[in-house]
Amino acid sequence: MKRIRQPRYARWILFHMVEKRERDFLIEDLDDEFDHLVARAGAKRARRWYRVQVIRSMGPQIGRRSSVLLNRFRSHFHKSYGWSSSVDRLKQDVKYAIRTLLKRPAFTLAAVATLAIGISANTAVFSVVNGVLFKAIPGISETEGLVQVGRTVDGRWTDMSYRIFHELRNESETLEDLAAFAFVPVSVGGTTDPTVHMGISVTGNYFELLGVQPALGRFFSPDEWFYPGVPSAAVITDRMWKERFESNPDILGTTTLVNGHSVEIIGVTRPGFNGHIGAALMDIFIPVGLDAPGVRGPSDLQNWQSGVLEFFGRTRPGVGTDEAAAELSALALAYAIDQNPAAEQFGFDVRVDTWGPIPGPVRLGVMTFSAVLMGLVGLVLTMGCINLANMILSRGVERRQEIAIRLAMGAGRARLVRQLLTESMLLVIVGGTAGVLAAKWLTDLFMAFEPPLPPGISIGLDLAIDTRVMAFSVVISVLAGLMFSLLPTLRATRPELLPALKDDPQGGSPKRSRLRQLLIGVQLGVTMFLLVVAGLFTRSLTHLEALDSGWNAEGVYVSPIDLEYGGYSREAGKEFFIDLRDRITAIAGIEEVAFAAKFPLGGRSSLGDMNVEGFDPPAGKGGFAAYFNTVSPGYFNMMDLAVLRGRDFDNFDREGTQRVAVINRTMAEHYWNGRDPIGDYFYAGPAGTGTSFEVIGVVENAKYKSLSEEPTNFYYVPQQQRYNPQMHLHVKTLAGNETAVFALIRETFREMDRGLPIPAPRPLEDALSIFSMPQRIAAWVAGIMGLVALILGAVGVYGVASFSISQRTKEIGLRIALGADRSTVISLMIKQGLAAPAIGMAVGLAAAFAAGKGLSFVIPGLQPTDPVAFLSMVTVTVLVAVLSVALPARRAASIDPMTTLKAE
Amino acid sequence: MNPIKQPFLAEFELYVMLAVARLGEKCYGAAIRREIEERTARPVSIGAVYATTARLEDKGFLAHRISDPLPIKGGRSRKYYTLTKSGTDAVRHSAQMLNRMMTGLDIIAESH
Repeated sequence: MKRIRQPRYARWILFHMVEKRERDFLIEDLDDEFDHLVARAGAKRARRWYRVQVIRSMGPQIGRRSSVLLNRFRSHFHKSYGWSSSVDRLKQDVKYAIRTLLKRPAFTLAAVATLAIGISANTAVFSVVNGVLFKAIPGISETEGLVQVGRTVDGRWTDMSYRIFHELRNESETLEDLAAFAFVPVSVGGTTDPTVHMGISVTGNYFELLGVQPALGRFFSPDEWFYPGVPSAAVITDRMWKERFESNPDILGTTTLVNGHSVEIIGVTRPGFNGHIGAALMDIFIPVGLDAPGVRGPSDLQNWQSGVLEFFGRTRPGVGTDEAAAELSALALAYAIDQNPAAEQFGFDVRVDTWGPIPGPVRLGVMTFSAVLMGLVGLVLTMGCINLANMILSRGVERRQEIAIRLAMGAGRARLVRQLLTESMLLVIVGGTAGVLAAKWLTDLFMAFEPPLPPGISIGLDLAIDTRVMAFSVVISVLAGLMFSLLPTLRATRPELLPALKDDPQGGSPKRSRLRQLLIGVQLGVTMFLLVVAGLFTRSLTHLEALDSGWNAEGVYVSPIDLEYGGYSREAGKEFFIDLRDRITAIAGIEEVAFAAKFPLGGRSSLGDMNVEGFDPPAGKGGFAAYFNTVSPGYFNMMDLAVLRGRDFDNFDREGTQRVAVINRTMAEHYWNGRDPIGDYFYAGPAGTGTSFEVIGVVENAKYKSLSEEPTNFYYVPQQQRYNPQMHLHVKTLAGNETAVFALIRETFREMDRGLPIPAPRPLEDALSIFSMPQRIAAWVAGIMGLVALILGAVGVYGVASFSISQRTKEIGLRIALGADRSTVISLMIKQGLAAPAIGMAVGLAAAFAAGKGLSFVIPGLQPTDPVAFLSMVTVTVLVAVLSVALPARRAASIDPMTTLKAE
Repeated sequence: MNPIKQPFLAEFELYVMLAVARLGEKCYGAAIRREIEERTARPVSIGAVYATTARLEDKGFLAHRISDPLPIKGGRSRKYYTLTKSGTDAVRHSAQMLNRMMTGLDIIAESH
């Protein structure tokens, strides 16, 4: 008889459903009955019966299996964590961890300090990066689709014209809208006390496109606020409203002067919104095309080629930046060709970038710098973690016995790992908390720092620690914790039980100790490198201060004066400067008054190649390099620049008379070589045909661009022959009465023009310090990093030395017992402990020397072999290294040999 | 396990225990299934029987032995169940409780 088979799928389900130990019995029982049923009632009924059996078995079987699983899970937790008592267990772990850590205060302190330093450095740097790159600008809620639009020429960003803007805004299909803006510093004020502020002229759709709302009044609206039909109105920021207008509740509708031009204030922004650029704070918004002096007027806006505006826009949903860029480039090029067919050969590259608080042109640079900084602090944290791992490895070996005993007594490995990880996490929590607190302090310090910026310019970085920074700190803390604890912990709980129980001190493998030596060698190398470089930087600053600048800034105060704010004509401007100088000179207590277009070191101007009759220009050049400054009479006296020959400028050196110049000593020596240059001529441009200047005087050399520069050709031209509306007022007062004198200057100024920003003189030294700022910052950063490296290096050397020496207490005891001198033993330990650090330090020293050589080409005043920098830093590093080894060595040698030997 | 809970048996558990008591020596899964099905006239799945016997074994009420393979070709082993001492106690306890609960109730008289 043909055997009837059970339903295949039903049987398969049953097979996989039933517990393994019951499976065979159950299935065979069922098969038995199936066979009987086939015989009794036929295959069909039997098969149906079988299927029903399987279906009905599912519920109970699944229930059974889940309850078995649940029970197993529950009992597992009862055993290892104590489902209900897990909190107690954790408490116990933590209590034990605290006790263990407190038993070793030096280790604990070192570990917490290391973590705190590393985590605070990372958190602080990240909060700067966060503030610069990631923090949303308050008020701009909808950044989706916002893009920055700019033109690139040879890879460099350039501004575009209003007419291109108009074309792109009207024709683009990929953009929902496009707005344009330009930064413009303006003077703001009623009829008295105007002040300089950072302004931004914007197209009518600026606010709507950004999606920001006014706190008071209204903003410019897209339908009525486009050039040329712009009314005279302005929107001010909440900050300006509070600080400049004392939160005047009736501000709306009042008029104020922008560069002397009357505008109505129609709105105030909400707090926090200071324009769409993250770091640079705007104070006032004026419409593009506002008819005021000192802002872009019709001639700039009519010219389709003028580069006066920057753009940003919002793409339509689903449009990518590449697509938008392609369309905008094509539109712009078509428009350009329309204006001038020759434009075709130049092309027109419009670039579209995603939105960010940092403007596109500088974003890449900022990001690179941020990445380098993050890398550096990351390195510090990694170095710290290596140290900790090292220390824990050492402790792990020390604790081998304890751990071996606990394992031998039946403690689970998981339990031990948990215990050791609890210790590590406790360190991370304490170190991380300290690190975040320190970072908060550091960022507060950064924010309180005010670089000596020109008046009116404010930088506002919100570096406050937010959730993103907190999350970052937690993540790096946990990572650091895992980095330094996991490997040593796993190793520690897998000891070779027998040697550990037998108290064999040589348990640590030689390979591992070689690794430790290598690590501390590297650390000390890095320490030495950073410290010497920091020393070189610091010394370069003192070198600079010792260098003879040629001028004397003592007692000199400066203040910018910009007549563009007042809409002065050329003639009126010249008169104004003469009048101002005369009036200030008359103030009692004033020693000298002068104007100059540029500060010393504030850059230099050139009128092109300079030629002197009788000197052929260098091959391939049109003349000699020479730079100039525009100054008023009295400038040389003010700056203590001796007039060696001839005379200073005077008020008769005016436009319409022969152009005159005062040259510096280098130029006189070079081209007149002992002859008297007074009355001779030189030319800006080709000799004989260029603009001729009659030499009327020779002054002592000074430094013009950087303090370390070589003497260069330099000449001065009189202010009245070369009008510049932007000058720096220089005043020198008799010491002690500055306040009274400045008050009188302000009064004089107000009498002359109530619409101009009032001068706020500050010491020239302060104004100059911005030029050495990058160097100062570099010195600080290298110094701090060097110090951190020194601490970490010391901790590392100390940790490794004290461990390896503690492993040798028996040997030391034996040596002393056999009559060795304690000092001999100590010096032996130092010698052996310092081998790796010494090699590291030598390499670091060589690297620092090489770096100094390289840096000396870019850092003025930096001497790559500066003996003071080298000697002091080498001494410090070596001293710290020796101490770190000597302390544990001395401790070991001071132990009574009987104690260590008896411990056998 | 909670000792107070121990004597109480769910209805189907009680059926299985009673079936095991009835079947004596030849008590295995399929036999229990048939016994309950025949006596209570309600369909019983083999899966339910095995889930319950396993649970009762966990509770210590049932014990089993694996038989030698049956003396036929391809003969297999069977898992035979017996009541343990505490199993017998539990059945007795359950029956007593049931009795006490039912004493004097009219519904019982009416159903017979």
